[in-house]
Amino acid sequence: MNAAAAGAGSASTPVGPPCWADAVQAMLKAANIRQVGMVPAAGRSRLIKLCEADKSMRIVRLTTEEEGVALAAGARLGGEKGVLLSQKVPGAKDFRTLTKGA
Amino acid sequence: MKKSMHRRDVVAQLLKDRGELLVIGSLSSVSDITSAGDHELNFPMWGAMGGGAMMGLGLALAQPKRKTLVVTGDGEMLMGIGALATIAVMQPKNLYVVVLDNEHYAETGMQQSHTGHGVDLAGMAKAAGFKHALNIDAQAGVARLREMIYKGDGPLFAQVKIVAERMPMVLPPRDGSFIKNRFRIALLGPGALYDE
Repeated sequence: MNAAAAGAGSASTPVGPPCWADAVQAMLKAANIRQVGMVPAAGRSRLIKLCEADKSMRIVRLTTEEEGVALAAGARLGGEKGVLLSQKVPGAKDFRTLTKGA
Repeated sequence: MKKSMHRRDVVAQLLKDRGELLVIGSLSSVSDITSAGDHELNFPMWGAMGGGAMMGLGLALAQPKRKTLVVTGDGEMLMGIGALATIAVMQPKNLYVVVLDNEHYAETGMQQSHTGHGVDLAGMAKAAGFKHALNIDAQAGVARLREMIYKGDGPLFAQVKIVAERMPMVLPPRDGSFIKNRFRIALLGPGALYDE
């Protein structure tokens, strides 16, 4: 799946058999996650689709992971929980934002 | 063009009789929002450069019945410029982003920023899809901006040209946990402290 396909369109039914993504999505739901910041990621495509299909979750398409750190901080301030779905190699950019401190 | 407006005056005018407005201030704007009066519904970000508008989005989405105002600077906005696209896609009616544009990086020694070379942030916001995007360079524009924030729908972006001047710092409490908890208790009630 290319980047545009992963990030585009409205909710759609995930394809393929259930896998780890279904378990992760269930955990996010159980944790009452409402805001899902995401960047396109081939390896996360099923998880993204599952979150898109869940009406209790709001997908926020990000242009870079750093946006997701601030998004989740704002959500928390306002009484909601957020999560950042990162690319395959998470870390450097997100942590840089975290270490800059809020 | 010669700038005539001062950042503290602009922010004081926007925050006067602010009611239930939620306010995020980033970097130099921390002092501006605090100068207008330390307030429990202020969240001064101190640092986290580039995150102001996005933190506003998270807050605005979580609190759709309140208005969220982000006050930031040109350098801070430039560092997270992709947020304009992200916010435009979400179209939050209750989010207002005001960039105090002095065309310089004031905190680091007044180096000229991109806006001093003609970059039009409001034009970028408009092109991204903000409902309202304003260039403001005169006092009358601030009164109109205030009206649009308190009475109109967003998403709104305003680039307010201000004098490049170093102002004395007016600082809120330094403890991040304190200002976060103070904000959340004021907004969500005392139970907010017991949230997981």
